[in-house]
Amino acid sequence: MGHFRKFWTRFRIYTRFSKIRFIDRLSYRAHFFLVLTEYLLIIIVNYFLWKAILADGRTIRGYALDDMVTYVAVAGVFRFIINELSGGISREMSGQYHSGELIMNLLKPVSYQLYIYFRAFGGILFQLLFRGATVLTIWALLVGLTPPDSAATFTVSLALGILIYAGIAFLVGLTTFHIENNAGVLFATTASIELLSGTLIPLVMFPGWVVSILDYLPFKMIFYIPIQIYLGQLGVQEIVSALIVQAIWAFSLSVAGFLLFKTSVRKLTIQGG
Amino acid sequence: MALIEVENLTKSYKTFKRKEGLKGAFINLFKREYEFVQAVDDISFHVESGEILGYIGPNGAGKSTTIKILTGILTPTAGKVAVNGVVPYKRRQQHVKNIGVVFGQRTQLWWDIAVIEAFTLLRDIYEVSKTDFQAQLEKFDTVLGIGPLLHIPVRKLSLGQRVRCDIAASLLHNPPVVFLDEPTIGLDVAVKSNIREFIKEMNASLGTTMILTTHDLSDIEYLCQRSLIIDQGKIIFDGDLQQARDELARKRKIQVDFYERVDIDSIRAQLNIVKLEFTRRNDYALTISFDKDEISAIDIIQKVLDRLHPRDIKIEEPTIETVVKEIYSK
Ligand SMILES: Nc1ncnc2c1ncn2[C@@H]1O[C@H](COP(=O)(O)OP(=O)(O)OP(=O)(O)O)[C@@H](O)[C@H]1O
Ligand SMILES: [Mg+2]
Repeated sequence: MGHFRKFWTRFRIYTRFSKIRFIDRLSYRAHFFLVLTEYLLIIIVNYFLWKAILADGRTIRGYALDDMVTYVAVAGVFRFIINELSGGISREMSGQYHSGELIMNLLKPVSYQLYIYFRAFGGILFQLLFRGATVLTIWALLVGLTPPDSAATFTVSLALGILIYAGIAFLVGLTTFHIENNAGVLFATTASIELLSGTLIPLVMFPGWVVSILDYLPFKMIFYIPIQIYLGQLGVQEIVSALIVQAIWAFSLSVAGFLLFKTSVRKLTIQGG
Repeated sequence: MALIEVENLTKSYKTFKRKEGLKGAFINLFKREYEFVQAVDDISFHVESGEILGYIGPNGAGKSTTIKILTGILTPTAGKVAVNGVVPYKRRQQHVKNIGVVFGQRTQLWWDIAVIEAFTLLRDIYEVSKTDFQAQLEKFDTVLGIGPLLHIPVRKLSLGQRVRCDIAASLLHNPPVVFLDEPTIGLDVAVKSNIREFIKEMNASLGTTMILTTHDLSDIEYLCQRSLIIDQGKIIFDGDLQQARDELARKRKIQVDFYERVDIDSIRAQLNIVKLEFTRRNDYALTISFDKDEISAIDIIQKVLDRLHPRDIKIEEPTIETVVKEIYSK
């Protein structure tokens, strides 16, 4: 019981970091609508593209227009999450390193990794609750949207996908400690994630050999697995094994981040003061 | 065992030597040269529980580097450090629970929230009870006048306001060990003296151990029985600065200005007192130095007045500043 209480109080502290980020995101209203419009436009463009490609009831590798209508909308919303994680984790860490805010966090008896994660979770909650919900509502009313095949498993899989990307984003953020300017690394990973996680096109549409390579990488675990579960493309057996693999990736990437952070801090030289 | 133990501590920074200009930038791409800066060079000292140690030295001497190592955010190149038996950089999270840190030049508070929110967050992080927290807030309001600042976002505070909140934040959990690196930077006179008073009181009532770095020697004079002076990474003085001043104060100086050009030999002959040292300040002024235990100042002044027709006379007594300057210049 004592352990649980302790765990709970610590957890509550970290959720306050989430809340701070959530409120912070809420306070930029002009930006809110700007980004919303931009992302909605991308979804609309993608929609018309697929509408042209899949006219007259055609299908490509099992995808019909009906599937793609939902696919582009959910993928569009997921891009908010990618944006939030690359900005809120990788770029944030780089900024904190250069501004010295990192030091201030190191001087607190708080895990830096969890602090960064929970802040990002607050941002994601904002993205889903406000931007995501708005986009999906507009889409459902104007074009149509199929609900998830299994909401519960989709949610679990999505959460694991987010955790996997958080792990990657944290590792990318750590590169600043070693190469000072990590803008290139950040750009390259964000671009690969968008392409290889399936937010641009369903991964089955890549050539066969690419698909088989992707099986060994964490990227498709981020978005493609959740969306497949959403669209009901996986059987029970497949879902169970996919969730296990997702969990293993999520865990290993975070552990890697934990270990690398420890060694990086040892090498830290702190600017100024 | 002393509370803070530093043995043969060394820290050298490896820095990339950048070449200037376009051509230099091009060369940098292919060939990198590194330089090592020996910021702290084999220093050793102990601080006993309940002591306030002054840690002073000229710019770039290595003070902040030492403090960073003691707080656990910097790993030393060589040597040993222990604070309360814990090696700071090895067990950082455990270590920082028991210390308070103020870096006057940078904030310890989260930029994006109001001061009071940061405080309550710290209260939870350090597991301070609500009643203790309330009492602390009241105390800090009296000393630092932070009451009106509580609902302002940290990023909107002025330098002095921010430093005041920072000091409050770092002492909120009554840490047994406190590191203050230029804590009074940017503070007005009234607040500054309040803070001194407060630090002294905290040390007396709670037995808090502190290391204080500052360029304001009056802080040191008021608070520290013992001071270290560090220069170019080496400790060049370890002791009581007041005592050093009193010793130096045996050496008095009298400045004398004249209407006519100064001729030291003739002045020496006219005064006819042994063991006086004369230094010329300019063509019309000189300084007479002497040991006050050997010769009385009155004697000298009387003779100067009687025999030399001076324009002006001034007696100088050494301050802590002159003592420190003297030590720096050695
Ligand atoms: N991150 C760093 N990389 C390289 N050199 C550094 C770094 N930090 C400090 N130095 C160098 O180490 C030396 C000691 O710096 P430090 O900040 O400890 O001085 P200080 O005594 O605190 O000075 P001040 O009174 O100006 O604050 C200086 O020569 C400085 O240039
Ligand atoms: Mg300094």
